[in-house]
This record gives sequence, structure tokens and C-alpha cells, in this order.
Amino acid sequence: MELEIASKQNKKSKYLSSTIEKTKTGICGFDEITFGGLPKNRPTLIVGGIGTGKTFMSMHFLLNGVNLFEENGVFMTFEEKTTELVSNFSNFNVDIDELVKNKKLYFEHLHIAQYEMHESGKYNIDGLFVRIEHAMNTINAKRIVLDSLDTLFTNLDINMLRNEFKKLFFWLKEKNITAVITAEQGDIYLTRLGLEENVADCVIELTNRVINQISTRRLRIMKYRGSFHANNEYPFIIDNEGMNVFPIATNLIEYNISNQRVSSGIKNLDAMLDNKGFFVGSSVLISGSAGTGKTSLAAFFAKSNCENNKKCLFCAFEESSKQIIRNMKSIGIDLEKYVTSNNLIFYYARPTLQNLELHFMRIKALIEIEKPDVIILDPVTNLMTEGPNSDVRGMLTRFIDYLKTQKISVMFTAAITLKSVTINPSDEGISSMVDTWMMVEDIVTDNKRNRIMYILKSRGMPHSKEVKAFEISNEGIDIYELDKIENHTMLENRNITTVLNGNIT
Amino acid sequence: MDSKALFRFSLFVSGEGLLAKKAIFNCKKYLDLFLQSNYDMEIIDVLQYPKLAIDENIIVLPVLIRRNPLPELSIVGDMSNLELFKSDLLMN
Repeated sequence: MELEIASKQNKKSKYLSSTIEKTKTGICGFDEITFGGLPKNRPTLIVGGIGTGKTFMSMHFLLNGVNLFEENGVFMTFEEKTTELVSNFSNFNVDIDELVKNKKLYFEHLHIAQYEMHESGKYNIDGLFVRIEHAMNTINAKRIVLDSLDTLFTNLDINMLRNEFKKLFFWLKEKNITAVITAEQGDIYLTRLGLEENVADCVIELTNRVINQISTRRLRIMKYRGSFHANNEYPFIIDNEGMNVFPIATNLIEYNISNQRVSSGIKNLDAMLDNKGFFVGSSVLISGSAGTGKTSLAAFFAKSNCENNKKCLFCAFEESSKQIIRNMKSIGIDLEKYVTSNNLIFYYARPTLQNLELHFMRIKALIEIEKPDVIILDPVTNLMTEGPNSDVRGMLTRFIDYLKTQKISVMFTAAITLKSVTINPSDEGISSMVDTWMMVEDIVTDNKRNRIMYILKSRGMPHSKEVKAFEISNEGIDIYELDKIENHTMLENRNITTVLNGNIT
Repeated sequence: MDSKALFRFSLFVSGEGLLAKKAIFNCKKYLDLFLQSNYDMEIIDVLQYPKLAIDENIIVLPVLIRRNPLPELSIVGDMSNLELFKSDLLMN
């Protein structure tokens, strides 16, 4: 028996140790989807069209090498003059000139001018090897970038290049240096030359498509020899903080689930939620058509948290923070004082200005600085018209997962109704992702509009199945029994649920 | 080096491989043929003198650089293509 167990364990450790050594890139999210970074001391190819971020990614890899991992780096470019390169990265919190002075970085611009070249007979690119070797030795580099191969392609003989690149890749491996090589025409030249299959240990593809007028960057690991890697396309952004990849948190090992509760801010609503309110760290969706009081409900949630000296991040995508503060004053909530006390922080952004990833990116950065206990997105549907539905879903999933790991409770408001769900199935998507879902609706009885609300689901707790009436006045929100409304005629027009005596069936 | 010679060349090669040997051989042969002894040629092995390669921005090898007469021009390859060699070389 003991022998069996021992041999099984041996097998397991052999398996694990066969994965190759990796070098961390320090690029947010990238090291996660590669389970550790790029293959150490091997060449990696980054392919992608113009403007997809190859130079940026390779530069970021190099800078992180110096700043985070004490690995000096060489940047050899066939493209821009080095001064241009440095100025493009001047937004980084890094003084590149300093690093060059201190011999941590080495820049070289290799210039090949076709029109100057007279040819007679066979030639090769041995000179390149000499240059690289010299550069590497000058600063004892552990990382090197060659950006990009295409200039060579356009100027020199392809068959010669085929052999030379094979030679180069093998040569780099022997030098014990982690190399990143960029190339634009991945499809046309490299596949034809068979480089991808034969010599690059890892190939990464970057794309930058324009979808619904918004530019969308994607990264995909096409190949990673000797290692597990995530297969899908991942969105990423590039801003003045660097490059950020968004993995769906696939290696979210079990995060701790909380049993604690947080009040919704409204006593009678808490009463519908097992008398305790929401779970801490859970996600809540309040949906309903325009003007039904979603923001007000969210404001009560914010207020209640601020009162308990918790921090709330209110992300507004429709009304400005000033507007919300003013509107909430009219129903008896003073949000201003919580802003002053720094319990309430507003993030206001027009959704049309940037893509989904950038929004979440900014919010995530805010979360890391401010460390809120709860976060409100009002309304999240404004963000969703800006991106194709599957992207949004993926983004939201990542976001909700991220919040769960941080144990931050999140409340979404959404301008959707049960009717709209049948028209726009993606709307249903959000509701399936959240833990608690409640709906607010306007109903007309005789010549009066009344508001009703009900809870469609709330995972993990017994919740009220009743449809309640609710009213917003300058004294706040009041929730009471439905039968106080006479002639609830509109209740018949429901596509999905029927209401019988105030209960949902 | 005799600085009075009309034609002056620098031939850069890497190591002693086939290309290098061919280039040296062909250069000597054709230069002797066209210019008799009226030229100077220095042979530089970039593996021994990498700095020189960097100074001259050399990537493709072998390369023959004509220093004199001006303008400077360069021819890459093992110089096996005589016609091209001739025409480029005697260009003024």
C-alpha cells in the first residue's frame, strides 16, 4: 500500500517538473494566462499587424525586467530611431535615459538601406549576430528584444533569411537570454518560412480590431511549447501605466465565501431578504425601466454603508455625481457629507468615450487605491451598448469574479425589464451572473402610477416571493403591501411570470 | 597602407567560413584583374574586431567597402557575380 502511494507521488512530481522554466514579464494578467511568463532563455515571437502593440509589449517586458526582476535588457530596433522610442515611452514612470546611463538598458538602431546595397553573390547576416553579441556583453543582458524582423524581410533575400533566422533562434538559445522578437507579417512570411512551427518556442498574436467604432485589443497565445497555456483571446489595454491583460480568473481557486450580511439600506427590503440583507461580497442587480427608482435604491445602499463608516465607490454612467447628489437630496439623502468624509467616492464617465476594458481598468485602479467595501454601477447597461454582447459578458464575468476575490459587494442597476429580456437576450446574461436580482416596475392603476418591486432570485437565502409596492418621497423610500393598491390591472401583462394574489408563481 | 594608391578598399568578413574565403579570393582575383596593383585592400574579420563592424553599421556580410575614390560605396556578397562586381566597382 505504502509503495503504491509513494510511486504515485513520484509520478506526480515528475509531471510537474517537466514544465519548462519561465521568465516573468511583469505585465498584469499576462503572467497569469501563461502560468508564469515567457519561456526562459528561449525565443518568443510576437506577431501582429501595425499598431497592435508589439513594440510596446516588448518594451514593457524589458523595462519590467530591469525594474522588477533585476535583469538588464537590450533593445535592438530595425524600425524607429531610438530617440523616438524613448519619447514614446516617456509617460512611463521610468527614466529610460537613467537606465541607459547606468548600463541596465542598451538601445541600438540597426539600419539597413536597400537602395544602398549592391549585391554580388551570396551573403548572410552575420553582422547582426556580432552586433547582438556585443550589445549583450556590454551590459550583461538577460533579456533582449529584436523589433521587428519585417524590415529585414523587405530588404533581403527570403531564402537566405530562412536559414539565418533558424540560426539566430538557435544561437539565442545558447546565449542563455530570454528573447522577444516581433514580426508584422506573421501569416505571409513566417508561416511560409516555417519559423513558427520550427524554432520559436512561444508565439503570441496581438490584434487590434475596430468593433462598433471602438478599438479592441486582443492577445492570444498561439503556441507555447512545453507548457500549459490559456487558449483564448484575451482583451488587453495599453495606457500610460503600461499594458494590462484581462484574464478570466480561471485559476480562481476557492475564494472564501462570506456568511456576513450587509443591509440594503432599507429596512423593509432587508425584511424581504431573510431579514438580514445581502451577503457581503455578493452581486446585486436592480433592473427596471427608466425612472423607476433604481438609482434611489442604490443611493440608500450607499448611504447605509457610509453611515456605518464603510467606503462606497459609486460609478455613475448616466447622471453626473452632482446630479445624483442633488436628486437624492430631494428624497432626504445627503450624499454630500459622505463625499466630504471620504466614505463616498464617485467615478463618473461617459460610456461612449472609451471601451469597456478601459472603464473596468480605471475602476479596478480606483478600487486598488481607495479599497471600497461596496461598489455601485449605475447603470451598467450604459456600458453595454458599446461593446458586442459576448465581450460584455466576458468582461462582466471577470469583473464580478475580481470583486468576489476582494470581498467587495457590488450593486448594478440596469435599464432592462422582463419584456426587454425577450427582445435582447444579452440582458438576461447579467441577471444570470448576479447573486441577487430584483425588479422594479411602474404599473398604472386607474389614472395613477404606482411602483412595485419584487425579488426574482437571491442565492443562498430564503427571500420573499411577494410583490411589494414601493414609494419614493421626500422622506425616503417606503415599501409596503401590494393590496393597498387598488385595481392592479397591469399585473396581467406579464410575459414570463404571473402574479397571483401578490405572489410570483 | 600606401595612401597614395588611387583605389582603397576594406573587406569585412566573419570568421573563416566558406563565404569569407570566397569573398577574399574573388576580391583579390578581380581587383588584380582590373586594377593590377593600383589598389589597397584591408581585410577585417568582424569576429575579431566587433567594434569596427558596429562603427560601420555592418549587418550583411561579407561586404566590400570602397573608400577611395569617393563616394564610398559597398558591395555585399561573396563577389561571385563578376558583372555586378565590375560595374558597381568601377562606378564613379
